[in-house]
Amino acid sequence: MVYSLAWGSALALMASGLSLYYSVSKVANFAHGSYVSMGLLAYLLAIAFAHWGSKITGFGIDHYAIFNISNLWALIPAFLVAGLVSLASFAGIFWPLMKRGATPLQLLVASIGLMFVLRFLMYIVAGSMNWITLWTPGSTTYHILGVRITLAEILSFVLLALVAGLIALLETKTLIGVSLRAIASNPSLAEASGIDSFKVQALAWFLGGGFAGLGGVLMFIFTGPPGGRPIVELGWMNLLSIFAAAVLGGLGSFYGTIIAALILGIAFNQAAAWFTIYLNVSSSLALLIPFGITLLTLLFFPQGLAGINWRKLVNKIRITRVEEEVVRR
Amino acid sequence: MNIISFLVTYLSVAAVYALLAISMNIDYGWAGIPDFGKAAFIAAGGIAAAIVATRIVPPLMLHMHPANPSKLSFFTYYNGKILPAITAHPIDTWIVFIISILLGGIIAAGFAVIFSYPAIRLKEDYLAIALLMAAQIVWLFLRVYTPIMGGTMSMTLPSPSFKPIARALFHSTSPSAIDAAKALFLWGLVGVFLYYAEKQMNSPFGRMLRMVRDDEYAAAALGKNVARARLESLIVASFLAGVAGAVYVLIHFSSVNPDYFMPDLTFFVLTLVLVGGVGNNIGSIIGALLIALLYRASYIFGTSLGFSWGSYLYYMIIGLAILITIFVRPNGILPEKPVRTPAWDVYALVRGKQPWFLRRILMRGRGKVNTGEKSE
Repeated sequence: MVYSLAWGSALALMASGLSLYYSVSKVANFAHGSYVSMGLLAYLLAIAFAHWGSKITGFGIDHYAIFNISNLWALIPAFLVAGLVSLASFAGIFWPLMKRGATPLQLLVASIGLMFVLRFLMYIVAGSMNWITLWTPGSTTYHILGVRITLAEILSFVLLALVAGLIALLETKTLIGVSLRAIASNPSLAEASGIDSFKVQALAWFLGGGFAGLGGVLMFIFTGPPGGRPIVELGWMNLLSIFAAAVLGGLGSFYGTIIAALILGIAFNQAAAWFTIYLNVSSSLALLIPFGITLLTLLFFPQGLAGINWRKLVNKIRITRVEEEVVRR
Repeated sequence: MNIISFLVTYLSVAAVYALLAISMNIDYGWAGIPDFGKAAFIAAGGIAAAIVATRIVPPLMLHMHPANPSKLSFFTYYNGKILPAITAHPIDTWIVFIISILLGGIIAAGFAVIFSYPAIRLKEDYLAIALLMAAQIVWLFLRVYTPIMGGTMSMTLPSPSFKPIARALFHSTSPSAIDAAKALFLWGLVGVFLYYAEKQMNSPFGRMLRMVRDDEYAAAALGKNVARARLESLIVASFLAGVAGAVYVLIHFSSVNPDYFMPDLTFFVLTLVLVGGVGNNIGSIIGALLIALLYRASYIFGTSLGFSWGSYLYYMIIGLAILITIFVRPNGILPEKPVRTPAWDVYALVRGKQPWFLRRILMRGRGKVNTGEKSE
């Protein structure tokens, strides 16, 4: 259960990044998975540079990249590299396209092209370091109150709480955060009132990419290469879960996405456990459950969790209860 | 490898890509649906071919027991008995082929209804993601559920035999003659697809799809059912994708494996359409010819570099092709043409937009039309 929640938090980190810049730029960005893998590669490279001269190519890196307190600093380059790549892709590709009046579909397709280019660049790095297939390096384990918990799990909760708090502070207390919300709700009005749209969106993209990078490192520590594929495809293999969380949360809603990712994390991991123990089928099929949840939610609540009018729903339930009581009397 | 055999194999690969591209062009190009589940619809053709070769043809035509790919004895029974029995007669391989393409199309059309149902009424982003999830689910399911195509192990399929055709056409059964017959057949199939797509797209149905793509609200205001139009175009395109998928596994690979239908395949097909020209069937075929060449060349060049990442060079090529197209020619090499209606033909004739050598042909049978040429 702790593991499921931690997995969900890592997913939430990645998906919240996506929804952060989706809310302002309205780009369904398929290159988001590449930022995830970029973060992971930056983490591994940072550790490799710190241990330069030792056996760091191939599986040798697994020995050094174990997730412990003394390696935490390497999360900073992961955040920065993923964030800067995201920022560069916004400034270099999406912003010029948006200036030309590209349709959402064209932006989406451009992001696919960007995804392939970034993936090739990562293959160059991973291939020259001989890292194309790696195992998860693992993490130091603690026993707190009789519960076995790894540092990566603790850190994913802490980071998620930090990110959520940071965004809450940013969006309410600072001018740039308020302008972020202004652009999200009405772009043309926001520009008319003197907000520099480019700067604000660039900030959102930088933060979004950075969160994706952090989530990527944690996800790699948890699961290793997904489905035995190259580590470069970590982001691509998780991209659908990211989108599922973002869609379930209502595309562009930051907190909705976090809650949706936690729900999907629990659903996926519990389903994977049941699938392997009781049904004796491969756990990779457990992806059916989160995807099924998302599709069903789309069917009934097209705007996702954030679009449900909770007060109305609760009122409806309460009213029906009152009616039942009235009928009973 | 001499140049002619390279050309012939290249042409047959490009023809298979062109089939996929035409089916992508119908729903992406004409109806504006981001059909990111194309890999699943192509997989339907693969499923059909696998089922026909193991379950349907042996009991019905050969009086043999059907084979079950999930059993251990499958490979000795299937490879040892059923495959030689089917390939013994060229007609049998063609019967397998024809049943497979029909069944593949039907399964794909069924998939299209099921997968697009939750999101067909929503914004494009949602539909794209729902279909992509469906493609991922189908791929995972085929990998895990062995009774269809035996999990991750490749299953050989009875590829239709081109020997009789090569003998009739070229009076030889050398490998190059067989390859040439194959390429000819595939380009004939591309011609059939092209004819169907052009007819369909220049009909009132095709015009409605364009209107739905360009302005949903205007279409709804004029009494068109937008969701239904999208669903219909998705079904038509998926049927063609299922047919193309059966061709893809039976002729292109002559084997079947779930990893042929990875969700990446969708984006490859999308690249063909984008580069060639969105909404233009001829453009899609040109895109297929171009990208097949680039793909092949980048693979040969990348592997000859000697780096461990060299074989991934095609990602770069495809990615750059998409990005350059979006920036330089957002509508592709051949942009979309206006719908051909009789009225448009006459208008084009009057305004002189037809090439001079076509005017006489187009004028035939429209004698009373004032073309404006006589008064000049």
